[in-house]
Amino acid sequence: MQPEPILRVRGLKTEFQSAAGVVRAVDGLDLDIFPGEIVGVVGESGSGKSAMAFSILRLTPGKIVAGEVQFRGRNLLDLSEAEMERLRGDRIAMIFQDPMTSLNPLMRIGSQIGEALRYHMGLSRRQADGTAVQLLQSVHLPDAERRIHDYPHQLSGGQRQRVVIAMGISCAPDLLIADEPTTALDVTIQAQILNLISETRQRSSAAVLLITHDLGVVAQLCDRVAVMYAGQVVEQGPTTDLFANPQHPYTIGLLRSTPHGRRRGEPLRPIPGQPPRPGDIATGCSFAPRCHLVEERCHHQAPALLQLGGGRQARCLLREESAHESTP
Amino acid sequence: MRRYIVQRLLSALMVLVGVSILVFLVLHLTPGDPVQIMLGPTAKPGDIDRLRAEFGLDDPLPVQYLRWVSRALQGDLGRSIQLNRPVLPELMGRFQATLILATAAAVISFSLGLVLGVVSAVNHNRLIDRLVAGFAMLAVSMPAFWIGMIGIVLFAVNLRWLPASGMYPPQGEPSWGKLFIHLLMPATTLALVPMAVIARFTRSQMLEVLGQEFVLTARAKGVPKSRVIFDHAFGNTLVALITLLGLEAGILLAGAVYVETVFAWPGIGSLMVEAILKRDFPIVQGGVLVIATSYVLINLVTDLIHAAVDPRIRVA
Ligand SMILES: Nc1ncnc2c1ncn2[C@@H]1O[C@H](COP(=O)(O)OP(=O)(O)OP(=O)(O)O)[C@@H](O)[C@H]1O
Ligand SMILES: [Mg+2]
Repeated sequence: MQPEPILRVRGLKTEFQSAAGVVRAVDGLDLDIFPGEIVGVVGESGSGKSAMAFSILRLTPGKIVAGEVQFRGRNLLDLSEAEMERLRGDRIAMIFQDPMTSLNPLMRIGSQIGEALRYHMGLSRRQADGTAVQLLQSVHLPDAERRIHDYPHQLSGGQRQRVVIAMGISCAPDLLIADEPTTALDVTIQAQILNLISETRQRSSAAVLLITHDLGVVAQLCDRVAVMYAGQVVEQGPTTDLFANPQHPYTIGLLRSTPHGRRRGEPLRPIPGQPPRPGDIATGCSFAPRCHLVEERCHHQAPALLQLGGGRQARCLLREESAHESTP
Repeated sequence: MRRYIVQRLLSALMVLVGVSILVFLVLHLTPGDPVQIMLGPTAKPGDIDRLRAEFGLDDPLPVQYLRWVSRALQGDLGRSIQLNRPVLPELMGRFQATLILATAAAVISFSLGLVLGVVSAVNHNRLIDRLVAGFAMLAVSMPAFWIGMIGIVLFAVNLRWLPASGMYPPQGEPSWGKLFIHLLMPATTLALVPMAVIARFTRSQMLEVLGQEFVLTARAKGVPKSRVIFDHAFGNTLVALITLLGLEAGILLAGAVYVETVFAWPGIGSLMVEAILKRDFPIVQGGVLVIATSYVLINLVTDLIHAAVDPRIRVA
């Protein structure tokens, strides 16, 4: 029997008002995260990965119109804003893509790291500075005592991302959401930062939700993967199983279209067609127009997320035969 | 930082030298021989030559310029033709009045402009934002002297709440209270346009800052929205606005001329207007020099403040 998930998202829907009408960036998303694991979230640009992350923290500029976000047994969507503020940065932390813009240019980095400590743990400025030094040492930033007095522009991109991670783990959160934390960094630094994230997880036993475009990173780092398409999780499961034996046609296409996913010697094959424009209303499966296994019923009937056993789930009508039970 | 200050001081000095050359040349390039004008049409040629030599007007221009500058540095800007008094003390008395007016207007326009801009940005597209936008539009599109006259008619003539003109009542001892009452209308009139401009720029700058990722980072750390606005967004907005605020400070000084005329404020602006009408060139020349110098100083102070509050400049 699996332990209880610390994060359990069900039927989450987030909409944006735009000039072209309502855009449903997250469209009935289901996702589980268990304590201490790293879950990778992959999917094409615009599939709603960031919108999902911001919705979990209730920091999305859009409107959450439906669903539940159960975190340690409480639905975050029912909490007051003040309760959410106590949770953010304390139990759930988030780090962003671009370390050049995610730090306040006018504030010393020690103060920025200390901010969460002062708000959540009631530390004084002095105590927070001391803890900030320890945190910077734990993310391997040399010369931490001196660095806390620096401003962000005095640090390199990789050093700043270390600062951002130190900020994220400052209150030892149960869940760390990292939205493409290495995309803005150059390749050699990327590996160091990813190592740091996995090291952090081991030390603090925080669960990590790692959003990335890089299937190689997922293969290397993540215990489980969730594949997103058009605002939904279309498949999720343990990384090795899912990569070896993808169940959803989109996952199959995604793996074939990237160097890390395809089998040795096979050519790269991009998925034909375009993802649906957000705002398009689809009656059936949102992937049907691009699916190489599509059947007539796929255009009319929306698939549910099917339990396939072995902790695997897929949102595809063609997998109904192998499903044990379907979630409503 | 020290190097930046030295560089900045040197460039300010150079601008001042340029300004002084311009002021000097303008006087010497204006048609008409000052000695001829002084002595009138019936002067004998011998007298003119003698006086020219006495004033040093036969020396080469650079020599004349250096003599004028060294006198100016010692506080001698010549004598007013009209008042027959030394120019500098006259200018300084009037400049002080202008400074009081412009400073009061700066306090009003900077504080209200910033507050209105922040309130608009935080309540983006809500009623209060629209109201501030409408008010700013109105303030910018109405000429200051017209607003000043409406103010006089309304508050001074009809309601009799405020004095119509001057810095102090004609009789009695000057006091802070009297100054304050006299200052209210001219300072508000002068402040209106800069206030509207600052409010609009603050709003757009604040919105831009609020859209930046570090604001989201702060929110994700659990910092409450109001604290994010104060601790993170406002500082960044202000730093981006320092240059604009410096420009507006200069504009307040220049704009004082109109307002001083409308409210008969005894400032350097109204003095210059009188002097121009009466062809009192030493006053005009000295006035331009004083105003230009204060512009250069405002600019210098603006840049130094910018460097002091923005760590990115400090190191560069
Ligand atoms: N503030 C917003 N206003 C309007 N639409 C938005 C906004 N933010 C996101 N969207 C829309 O929501 C959809 C999902 O965007 P999201 O940023 O979540 O994608 P993503 O999966 O994170 O993509 P990427 O890999 O490029 O980061 C997109 O179609 C996008 O246009
Ligand atoms: Mg994204």
